[in-house]
Amino acid sequence: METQRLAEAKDRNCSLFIADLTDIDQTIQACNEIRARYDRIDILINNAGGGVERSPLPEADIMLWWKTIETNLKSTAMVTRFLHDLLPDGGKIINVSSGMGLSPGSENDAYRVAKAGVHILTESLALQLWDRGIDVNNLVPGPVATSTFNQDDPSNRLDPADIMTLYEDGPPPQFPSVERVKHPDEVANLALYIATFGKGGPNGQTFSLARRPL
Amino acid sequence: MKIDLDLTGKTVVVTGAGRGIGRAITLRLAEAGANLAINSRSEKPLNEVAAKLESGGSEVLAVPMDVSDWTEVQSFAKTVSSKFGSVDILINNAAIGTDAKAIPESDVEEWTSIITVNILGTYYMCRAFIEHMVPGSKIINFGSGNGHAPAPIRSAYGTSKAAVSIFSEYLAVEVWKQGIDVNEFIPGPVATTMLPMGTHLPNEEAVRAELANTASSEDPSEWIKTPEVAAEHIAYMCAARERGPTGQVYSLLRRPIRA
Repeated sequence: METQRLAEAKDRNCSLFIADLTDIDQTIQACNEIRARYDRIDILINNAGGGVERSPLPEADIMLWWKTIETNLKSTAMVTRFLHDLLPDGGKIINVSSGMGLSPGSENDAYRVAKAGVHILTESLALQLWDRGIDVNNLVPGPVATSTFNQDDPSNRLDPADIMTLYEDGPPPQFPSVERVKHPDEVANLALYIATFGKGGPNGQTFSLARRPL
Repeated sequence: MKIDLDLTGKTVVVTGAGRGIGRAITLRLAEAGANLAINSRSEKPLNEVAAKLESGGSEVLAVPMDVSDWTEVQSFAKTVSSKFGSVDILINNAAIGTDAKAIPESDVEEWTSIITVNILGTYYMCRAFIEHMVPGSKIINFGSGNGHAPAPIRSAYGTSKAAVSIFSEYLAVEVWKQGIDVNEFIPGPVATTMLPMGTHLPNEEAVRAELANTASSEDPSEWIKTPEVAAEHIAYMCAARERGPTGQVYSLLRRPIRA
């Protein structure tokens, strides 16, 4: 609702569709509502995601482990499946992925597996949709000053600028020290850049703001 | 989308600036206000680019030289730093890639020279210029899809570009603490004399006239871009803030790299 208010303050239309994108019935219903309102989608950004279970598989709650796969991969697959036909020639799909999807690790394996799936899904969709003039790319943001930084203490309600100040000299220990905690606007600017390429722009590629080789 | 880029007072080094993408980058970054230090092996096209920049009011240093000659690279770095002081952006665009034979039939001298110019040229330039670079500087090295997945009869070019790719990653992890960001750029097919489908054409103008803004005959999913489109993406990479992306691959290919 806050996002809607901000968009409308800039004289833009912004419609809200509430759904749990791990749930197929809710997702279908939301996509049908979107179809009822719009007959064309120029840019689809599959941004929904997150790590529900961060513990390694041997200790993980398997239901939460699986939920992490669903939150990141099933959501992206379902929304794309139910909306792709509304994208015209020149349409863009941007899937928000992660460097973790390209490297193994001692924790966060559910998230890594899910994002690895998003990577391959993006590349496969790129091969499937290019001749309709639709470009599909991955966006890897790296650490970003979002509400996930407030998780350790839910009473925290730091805004992006506060979070960036807090980690000016280096990111928190769950990230490699080379990384910089970025403002969400930096990610939005990259998404805008990818979304506004003309004909013959990149397709099936990964655009990353990370600071370590993926 | 035209990138909002201001390089006033910044010094940019572009190799292979006499023609093709290097020339387009040079003109684009001069338009953004940069001082340019440029090189190429052939003097005439380089001087033409330099004259064009000067008439536009840019500070230019144009030195005909070979990036695969360590002595010449060292002397170029010395000349650049004494004229401009520090270097803010280094763009290693110079490359050759004329091999068109399978490995068993390859010409050993030609194979050797492609490897030498493309990887040693990039290494020598980075080696000589890094000491003149300040925190917030950027290095952009030219990679290729051929350096990430094999394409028949491109072994020397592809192998050299694979080396540039891993070299760029090494450099990125070694110099991030100095505040220098290093990334690889893959332009994909561009209408220049290096375009494999254009080798039968006499010059860049002819390649552009016949092949720019058409689908590639080698791979219909690829689109042959103008040098200006590739240069605009370099402008985007140059516009990144300090401590931006490093160790990344920015690619304009239209086919997934591993497909």
